[in-house]
Amino acid sequence: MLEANGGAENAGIPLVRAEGIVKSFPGVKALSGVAFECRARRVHAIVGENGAGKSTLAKIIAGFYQPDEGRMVARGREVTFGSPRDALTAGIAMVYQEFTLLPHLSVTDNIWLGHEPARRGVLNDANMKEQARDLLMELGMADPPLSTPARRLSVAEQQIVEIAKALAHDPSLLLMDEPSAVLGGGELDHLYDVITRLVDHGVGIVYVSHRLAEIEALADDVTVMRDGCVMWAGPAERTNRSDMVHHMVGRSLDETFPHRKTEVGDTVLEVKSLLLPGTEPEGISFHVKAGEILGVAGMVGSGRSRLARALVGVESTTGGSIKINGNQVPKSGPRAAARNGLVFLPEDRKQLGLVLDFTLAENISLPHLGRVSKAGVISRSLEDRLATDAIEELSIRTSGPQQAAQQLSGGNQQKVVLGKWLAAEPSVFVLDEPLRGVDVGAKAEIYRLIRDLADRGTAIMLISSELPEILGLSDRIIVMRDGLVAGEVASRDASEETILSLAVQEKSA
Amino acid sequence: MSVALRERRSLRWGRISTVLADSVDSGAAVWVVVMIVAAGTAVGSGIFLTNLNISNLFGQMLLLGFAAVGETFAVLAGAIDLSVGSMAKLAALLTPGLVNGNGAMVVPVVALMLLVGVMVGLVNGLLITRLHVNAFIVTLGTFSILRGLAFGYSSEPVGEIPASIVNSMYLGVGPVPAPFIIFILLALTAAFALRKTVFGRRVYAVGGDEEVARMAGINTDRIVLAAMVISATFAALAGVMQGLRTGVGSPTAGDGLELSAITAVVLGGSSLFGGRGRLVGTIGGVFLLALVDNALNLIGVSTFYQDLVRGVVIVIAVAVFIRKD
Ligand SMILES: Nc1ncnc2c1ncn2[C@@H]1O[C@H](COP(=O)(O)OP(=O)(O)OP(=O)(O)O)[C@@H](O)[C@H]1O
Ligand SMILES: [Mg+2]
Repeated sequence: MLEANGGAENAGIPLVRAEGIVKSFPGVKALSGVAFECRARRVHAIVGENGAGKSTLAKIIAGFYQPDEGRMVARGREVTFGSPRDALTAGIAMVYQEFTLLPHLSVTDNIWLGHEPARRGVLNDANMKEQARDLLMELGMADPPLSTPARRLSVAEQQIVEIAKALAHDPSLLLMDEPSAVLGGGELDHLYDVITRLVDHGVGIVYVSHRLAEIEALADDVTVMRDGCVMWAGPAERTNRSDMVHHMVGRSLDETFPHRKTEVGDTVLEVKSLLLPGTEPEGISFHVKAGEILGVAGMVGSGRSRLARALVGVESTTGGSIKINGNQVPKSGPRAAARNGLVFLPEDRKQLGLVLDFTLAENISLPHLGRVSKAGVISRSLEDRLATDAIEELSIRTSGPQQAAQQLSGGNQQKVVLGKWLAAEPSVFVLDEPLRGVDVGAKAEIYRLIRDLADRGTAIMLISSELPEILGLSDRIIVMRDGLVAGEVASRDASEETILSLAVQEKSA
Repeated sequence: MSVALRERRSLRWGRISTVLADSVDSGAAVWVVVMIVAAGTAVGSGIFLTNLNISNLFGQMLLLGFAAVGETFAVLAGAIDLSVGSMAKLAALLTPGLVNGNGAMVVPVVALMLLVGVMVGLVNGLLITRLHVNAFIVTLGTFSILRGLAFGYSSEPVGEIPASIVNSMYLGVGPVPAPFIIFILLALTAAFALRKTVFGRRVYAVGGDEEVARMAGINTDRIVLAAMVISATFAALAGVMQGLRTGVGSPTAGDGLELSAITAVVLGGSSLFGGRGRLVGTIGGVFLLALVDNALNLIGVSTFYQDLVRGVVIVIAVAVFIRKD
């Protein structure tokens, strides 16, 4: 399926070249005169801080946005893409940073949306299923849930379907906007394999990511963006991680983790024999103390998110107890949990975390309306002050507290969700992949904020697939496997190897 | 109540509500209500199951039936069509008016009416997609315009359809009149188009999330345009059938039809925001509305209370069966 434009004579020809691209949105200049080129058989990485303009550039190449100024040349011919359809016709497909599946449509139907195999207008179901299965298996899904509606998939599965959806177009240029952000170990390997195979078949890849290690391994070319401009562009072998960071943020970064400043206190969250389907008979038990950060490691699908959701009562349990400061928490939903001081930041913030039509200030103040209102009347200035604090602390790139959340870049939306809860100071804070899609500069800042929160006495449970992050930030780590806690280690005794070996150990069946 | 017991109950309730939601999704829920109402009426009135009444019931369903099938396309595509009532009224007036007793004119007039339907749909669709005006506002405008045209043409009963043709509208297979068979065939075709064709898939996609549909390379404007044309054409067909059946053009034909059509669509489990729903559900909604009217007549409820009872039935049905997400 990938023979599209192979042939050694094509190696390295520019598939698309953009020159002088300018794009403004109301109140922001997202791109100011950007040049970019992607060649066949090469992976061209774009890196930059949140809001630097990476997605905007990719979306212009994919025909989703039209540039205000500048020109684009595809395979030697000048083109103007009026819509994604034009770009798709020209062999350019994109994996968007946003969620682009129709939640009620099946996996197969989502993959073929817009170019459904059909005979005289009648859908060819068998054909669609067969090809969708091949694509998904290639991406590492052993038993693709072809008929399942997209909304029932886990976030990682949804991402794999998004990638399959772009691959189904059999593109000659594939734009991938943070495709790896929600994927873990095994899935990443499959993604990298697929990319390598595509490149061997002559496809050009544009790869946007905040994972610099991944970029060092994958990229042939790198473009570093800041504030809508290209700061550096060239072959990957002529740059390295610290140079990239320097170009991105304009300074060198201290990539160390903040240390605990206070003593760990009493047990705040105590979970005993929590029974989820498949965890019988022993269930899940652990505790978190005041001021402590408990890292939760494990492979994607090991039950980490399910456990977190069970804590706030969104996932049904059949037994066991959850206590906060000795009080039983009713398992009746996030609101009851929040009343008991347990706040949960879910992993699929693409859908759950933000009211996209609200402004940034309205989103941040939502859980704290009591603090920003007098006698039930919301004070705009108090609300703006709360938001401005968050904007500064998290370096959110925005035109101001009154910008609609919808208009923020992906990583900045992420920061807003975090800001909303960091202002809450709960007794227990459960964070599921809180730094996904956040740039390196802001990460350091957020690490510090999480640690500060712990130092003020909050018990924190941090779920992350980034081992360095878990190791650097946690005081203690539990590793999950097959829905159960496979082991516990103090982080000062732990290494990536000890965690991995606990996470993947074969079941002694 | 112990925690465990409460949990078990909430689990059971969870399962029940999933089954409910699935049956709404498949359009089956409304058919259950249809069966219950039909059975209840059959028990309560000896006339209900007679050939005459059934034939009547099917005949009276046509106006709403055709309009609701068209409306389903508009709603699924994320739009809405408020102009179906006026469109049907215009066709119901013009058909007998232009035929005016001349049997040879029937076929050309019907063709002309359908063409008018296509044109109205094109106007609706172009205003929505080109000028980016909300479908609600656009079709509210065409609703008024068409209504004005209809009243301008005649504000009293007008024209005539030859008796032989009117009579043929009541014949068919047993108690099932021929136009009703046509209706069922067209509805099945429409259901097939929505579920099994590329076009139908795209209607759902555009209604589900226009942005996502655009990202997938779908020409979303063309889909909305087509859905509006289908809606208006079915409305014209509804009016034509009404004109042919009654034999005379009535200026009150089609009054309130847009609301009944939307009600039928919603009762059938479709989301008013588009992208979800089934045509079989809409047909169930049409059956339910027609049945309730029929039952109220048979039981002899006065017209004043008929509106009231109909309203209560709709609110209850919607409260129980409409999607809650
Ligand atoms: N639809 C829009 N309306 C208004 N402003 C927008 C819109 N899309 C993007 N922007 C703004 O343009 C700038 C660049 O955004 P873009 O999404 O390209 O950033 P990015 O580099 O992809 O960031 P991230 O790493 O967070 O995904 C940001 O300031 C953003 O707020
Ligand atoms: Mg982005």
